[in-house]
Amino acid sequence: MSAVTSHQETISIDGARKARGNLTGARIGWTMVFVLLVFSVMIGRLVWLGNIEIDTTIEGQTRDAIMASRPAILDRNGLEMAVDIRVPSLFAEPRRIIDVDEAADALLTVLPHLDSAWLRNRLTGDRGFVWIARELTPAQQDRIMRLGIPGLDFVEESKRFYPGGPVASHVMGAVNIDNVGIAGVEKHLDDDNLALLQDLGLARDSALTPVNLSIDLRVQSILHDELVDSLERYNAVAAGGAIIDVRTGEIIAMASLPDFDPNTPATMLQEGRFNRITAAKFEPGSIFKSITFAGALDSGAIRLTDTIDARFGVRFGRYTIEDYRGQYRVLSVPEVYRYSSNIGTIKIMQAMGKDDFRAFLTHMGFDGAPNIELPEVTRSTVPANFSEVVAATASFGHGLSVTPLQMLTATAALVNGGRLMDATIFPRTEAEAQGAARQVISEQTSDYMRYLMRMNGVIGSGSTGNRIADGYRWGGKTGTAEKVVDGRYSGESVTAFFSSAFPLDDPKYAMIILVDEPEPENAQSGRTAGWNAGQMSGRLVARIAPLLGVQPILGPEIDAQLVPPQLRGPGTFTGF
Amino acid sequence: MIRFIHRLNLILGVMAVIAVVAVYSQKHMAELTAGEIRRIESAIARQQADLSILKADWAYLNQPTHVRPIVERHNDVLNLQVAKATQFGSFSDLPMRPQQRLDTDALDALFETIEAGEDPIGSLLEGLL
Repeated sequence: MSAVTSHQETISIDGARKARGNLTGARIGWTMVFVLLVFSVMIGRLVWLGNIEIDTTIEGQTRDAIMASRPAILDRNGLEMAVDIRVPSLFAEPRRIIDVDEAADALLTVLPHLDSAWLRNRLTGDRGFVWIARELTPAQQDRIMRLGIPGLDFVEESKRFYPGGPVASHVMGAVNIDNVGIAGVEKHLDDDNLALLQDLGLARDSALTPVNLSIDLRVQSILHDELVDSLERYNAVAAGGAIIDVRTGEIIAMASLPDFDPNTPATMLQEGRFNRITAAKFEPGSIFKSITFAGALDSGAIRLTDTIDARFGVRFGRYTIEDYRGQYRVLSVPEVYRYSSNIGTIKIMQAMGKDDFRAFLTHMGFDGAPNIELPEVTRSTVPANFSEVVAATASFGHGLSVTPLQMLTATAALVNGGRLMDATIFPRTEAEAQGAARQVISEQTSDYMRYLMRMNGVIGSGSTGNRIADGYRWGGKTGTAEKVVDGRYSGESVTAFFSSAFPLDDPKYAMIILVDEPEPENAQSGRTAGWNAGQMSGRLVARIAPLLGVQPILGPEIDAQLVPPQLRGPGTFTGF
Repeated sequence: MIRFIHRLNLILGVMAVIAVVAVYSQKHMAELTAGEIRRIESAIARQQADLSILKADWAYLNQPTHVRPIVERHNDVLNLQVAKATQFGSFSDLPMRPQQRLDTDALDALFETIEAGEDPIGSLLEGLL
């Protein structure tokens, strides 16, 4: 053996410990690779899941918006005027429907009103959601369930139900099929803040607190009933009425005919179904004389004890304004009101001055649109500047158009001590109302107006109605406005008004009634407002006053107390 | 040392099995509970739907517009009419109660005779028989 064996490979022997260590290292490596793989798969899956957009919309609308409910609407006594009911709506998932023809045929047995071709087209395709029929009855739902067609299902939708039907239609308004308010107080609620709640998905189930209105459903239904009766009785084209609490400005009842059923909102769009109290303007006719009187008496231009020369008509150029059934003599101020003398009223306005008179109309809230929560309002038409002749016609309610609601709030201010307040359809306390009210005439002028209205109710144009409503110290002013037909005032076609208040010794309620194009009830009666709007108001008062807690007092003593002191004394005309 | 690690492994293995079983049963129970919740929720939804319809029904039946035709239909029997102003009254309209005049002297005399042992009514009756 040579010593030179150095080229031999070196034998290196790992120790047992080292060998195991290497093995463990490899194992750890593999494990880490495996764990990393697993984790990367999991992370990948998470990213994938995170990117999936879950379609929560139903044909472009969020599911929440469709499920969203609306608050119940109650009258001032807690009776429901609008409630939500949960109804099933049928939808299909076309991508899960196996046999379109079979499904369509089966569905048509339950829902025969659907169009067969439309239904087939609807069920074909790869969409995930299509409506088939909305707002079904539970019985229909049961029968469709029993058909056992795959790919059909129901969602619970909220449907608005108005238990009273058309009784308060113009106040309530209506909602569309997606439960969005489109008119009346329903629209007001949406514009207010309900839409926001629904968008946030908060307006669900019964979480919403009911909304109270100032409407008294009992009075509302009586008003509606009387208006329906008057349409028939006087063969009129339209009628309307509203009652306001003069102490708070709350509307107790408001109705306008022809109306619609809020449960079938499509009827709302038919011709002439608008709210005549807020969304229509009329030439008010003689009821406007109350405003002229209040303005002139308040300014001090005339006093109740004055006399007005109404012997001759008032001439403006070629025209002469005459009285309807004129007295043609010298009249006292209360007599001008009682005989509704146009001549006398023009003289009274002229004593006040036409510019002061125009300013007083602004003061009484006759400019612009009436202030109320309902979205259906229209602006009045009152000329910005009065010429002599326009002021003269305006003093007896012609040549200008105002909404009946403006006339109502003004009438309320005339009798409640002179405080003009905005009308509201939501409950309001007297303190709140007083805070927002504006003193437009003095307490004393208000007392004079109450006397004049009561006097006209007892012996003037309201007397036929007053006999019906005897005991409730009710009175007001009639107005028969001739309508303009083909550019001329027509004697045949008139709008009859009655603006009144009761009980006039301590006024609580004011109301306005209008009957559009009335005909005489029978051969003995006439066309003027006392015969129709006046009598209807009387019937209304006799029915609602006991409900509203107005105690009847019979006998002339209480009327005598209304007579202003300066008129008490022998020989003066007082009416009582 | 090795024996200890073996034991530890064994214990950990057993614990892992127990944990797997526990987690699985938890999951199963949670699913059962979730199913229960779904069932109850759908029952609530159904009952709320029923309730809403009953409420609407009640509101409808209470409407003045619904009640009035019924009253009119049965008015032959009920004979309900609008109250007239003359039919209302107040307490101040009621006359005072008429003064009752009690003949106290005669009563005193009657009691005295009864106490004395004589019964005028009894003797009247006896006289009749």
